[in-house]
Amino acid sequence: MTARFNLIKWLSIVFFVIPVLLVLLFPFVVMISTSLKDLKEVYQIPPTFVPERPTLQNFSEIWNVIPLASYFRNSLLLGLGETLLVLALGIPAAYALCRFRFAGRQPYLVFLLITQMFPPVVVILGVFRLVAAYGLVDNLAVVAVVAAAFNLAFCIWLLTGYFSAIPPEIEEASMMDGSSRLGAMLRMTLPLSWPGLIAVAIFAFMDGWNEFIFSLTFIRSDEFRPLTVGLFGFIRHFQIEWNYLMTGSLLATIVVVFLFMLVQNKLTRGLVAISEK
Amino acid sequence: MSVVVCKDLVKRFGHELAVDHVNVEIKDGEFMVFVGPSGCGKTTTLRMIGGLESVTSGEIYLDGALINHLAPRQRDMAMVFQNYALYPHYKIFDNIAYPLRLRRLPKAEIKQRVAEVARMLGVEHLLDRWPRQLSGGERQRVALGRAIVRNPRLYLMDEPLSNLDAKLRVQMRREIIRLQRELGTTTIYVTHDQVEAMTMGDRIMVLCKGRIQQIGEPETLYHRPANLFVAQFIGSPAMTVLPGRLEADAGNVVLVSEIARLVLPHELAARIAPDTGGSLGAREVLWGIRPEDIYLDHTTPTPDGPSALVDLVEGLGSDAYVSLRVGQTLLLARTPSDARPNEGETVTVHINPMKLHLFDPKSEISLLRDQV
Repeated sequence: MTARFNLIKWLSIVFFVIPVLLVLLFPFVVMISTSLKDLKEVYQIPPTFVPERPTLQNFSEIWNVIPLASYFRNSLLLGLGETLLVLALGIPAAYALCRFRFAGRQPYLVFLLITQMFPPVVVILGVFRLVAAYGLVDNLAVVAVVAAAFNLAFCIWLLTGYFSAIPPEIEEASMMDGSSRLGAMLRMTLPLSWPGLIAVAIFAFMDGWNEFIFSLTFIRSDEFRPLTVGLFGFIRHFQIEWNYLMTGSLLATIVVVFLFMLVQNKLTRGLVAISEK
Repeated sequence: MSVVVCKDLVKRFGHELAVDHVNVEIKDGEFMVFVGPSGCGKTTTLRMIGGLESVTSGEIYLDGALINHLAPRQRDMAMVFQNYALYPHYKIFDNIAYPLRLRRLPKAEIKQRVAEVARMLGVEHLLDRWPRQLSGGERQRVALGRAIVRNPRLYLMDEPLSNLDAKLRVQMRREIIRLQRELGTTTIYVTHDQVEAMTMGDRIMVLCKGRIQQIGEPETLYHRPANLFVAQFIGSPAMTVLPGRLEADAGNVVLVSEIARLVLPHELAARIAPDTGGSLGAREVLWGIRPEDIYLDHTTPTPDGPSALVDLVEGLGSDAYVSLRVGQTLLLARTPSDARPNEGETVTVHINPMKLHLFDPKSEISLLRDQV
């Protein structure tokens, strides 16, 4: 029994886990490898997998080739802006959906789902005309608002799930003890569902950080460009500067990975604490 | 001073009527128990009094003031929940201190009052722990502590003991009774367990399908049930109820049924309500008898009672419950353990006619008036 189980385990690792992992990691390996090459080696035939003349030159040069620091700042603002908007609007919406029974609650939930079925590209022209009509082109805040609007429905669904996991009696006890409903939400429901809040915050931040299509459409000047659109500039008509593109992408990824590592530890600990209760 | 009055209280959930015109007055310092099977509206009534559930119609008064539209925190009531509802992210001290902190009491006073309550409930050694580190009984004590720490006008308890094991439940039951007597605060206690209701309540309100069945002292409910539901709900094991007929016979009232012909004592016959319709000539009734009001005579078979076959004997140590079969009819009797018959034995059944309960078969309302 155990021997057979071990065999199945090994076979599944060899034939399933490793191939999937290879496919998933391949772009990252190429990204790292390319970021360590100069442009000549990038276009060398036959191509090399491991850089022949590894160099860190790209990492120092890229800051002067493009205003990378400003791109970073803009992406950060976009990510934080979207996170704040999603939390500020999503928390009350999700709370109401999970704690109150009101007319139209069910249709509203369905409506939220339906909004997720429109790809942003479909409506982008309309949204652009709206933004342009109000003279808000080239405004980072507008990008954050629009991106948050498209992300909000999913985050509300996520938050509703986390809030419904908190027994309503805890809030009711708090209200009997003398707090208002808002007080009960702030002192009980939010602290108890903070792993969920962090998950949603990360999700929203990532969405803002990776935001491309709205920034490409709504942002005109270089000083407001986020990383995604800025790096896109390396794809030119006659040549793609793969070495800089991959270096920029790597730097952008590292920030997010670092953020994840920072939070992951706390996140799992928070989930364990909740499950122990 | 805390008197609660519910006037024509109604609660609807959609089309479903959960509480149906409840009228009750809970006196100052009283321990009132709401009891009934699940879904009878007892918890909903309690939650409406506490302000956690809106009132569909009717009024709730606390000391004469209408409180229908007050938020829970404006009512100054404390509630103990079935699942304790301790705050999992607060330590025990902070759990008990929470209501005091919300009232912005000075730190020193909070500390002193929490310590006092903790001593009262025997949880001083737990103050530095987290709720998840406590056993069910300890959690329940802390939940009680959180309720009593601020001297509210009213305690609301929603099945606080039903998550505890049997032994602990009996112990906590006594502690809650003792505490309530000591503090003298008006208490409303919800339970589905009639033993809890009987042992704890100064008065009991029995509910079924959102309607009040009877309000009264435990003894009254037991000996003078207002209807068939109360008769069968209160008392464990339940009263045996059988169909029969009342007949007049030479100045006496006689209960004729499949298993016996009982001459009703005059005291009992006089209590039969005359205004419930139908002549005594031949009136169909449901009659009930509690297990302890049946005596078994298994030494000498006598002709003055029906003989029954002993079906099953359940010993409790001190007493034994005996299931009897008379023809097709099943009866339950309670005997002292040392007088218990053997299974398969034939015994003579004596029914104490003074302890008979009589109900109208249609309305199921008791035919017996309280006083002659």
